[in-house]
Amino acid sequence: MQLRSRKRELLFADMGDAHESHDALADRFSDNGRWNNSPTNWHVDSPDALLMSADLEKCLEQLLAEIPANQRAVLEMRDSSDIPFDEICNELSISASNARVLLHRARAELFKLVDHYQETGEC
Amino acid sequence: MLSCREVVQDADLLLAGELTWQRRMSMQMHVLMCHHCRRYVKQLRVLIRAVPFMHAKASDDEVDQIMAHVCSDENTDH
Repeated sequence: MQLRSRKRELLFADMGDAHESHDALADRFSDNGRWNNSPTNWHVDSPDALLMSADLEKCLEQLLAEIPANQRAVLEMRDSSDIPFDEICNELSISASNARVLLHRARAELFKLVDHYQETGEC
Repeated sequence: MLSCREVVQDADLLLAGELTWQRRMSMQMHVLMCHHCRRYVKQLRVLIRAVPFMHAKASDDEVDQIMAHVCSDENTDH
């Protein structure tokens, strides 16, 4: 637990502001806010089915290693460890709105990658 | 009516049950009528449930930093 906590501190050493990066899905809408490039049908209804492809799993691992550390941290804490938002905010010293923006952006990055993979078979 | 962009922006909050009653109704109304957003929300739900099974390897720098801290803690303890 102590190691995990220290690891978080280290990961957050390069944490910047939530507004440093953009929303990965932002360019998929037209000016009127409708989908310009709508999501592909993934034909999966469970996490197991989604991660069935070893290639996709590698793509996701690579992406997780590349996204900003602050996004990855909030994603891991919220979606992997199920840590409540108030605890995440306390531990990372960020506001609740910042934490939600970071989580949304991390998920958007993952969504974009999976969507592209489902369409093309490539990262 | 909400735009698709707004639905995508708030889909995380919808799935977390953190929207006001009024906003939730607006979202659900939109999702009912827009199959693109319906697909987005459905697939986002699957994606979120898959996150715990995605294992990103720590970078070499992160491992080195952590090991340096562990070693320094051990030295301090003795």
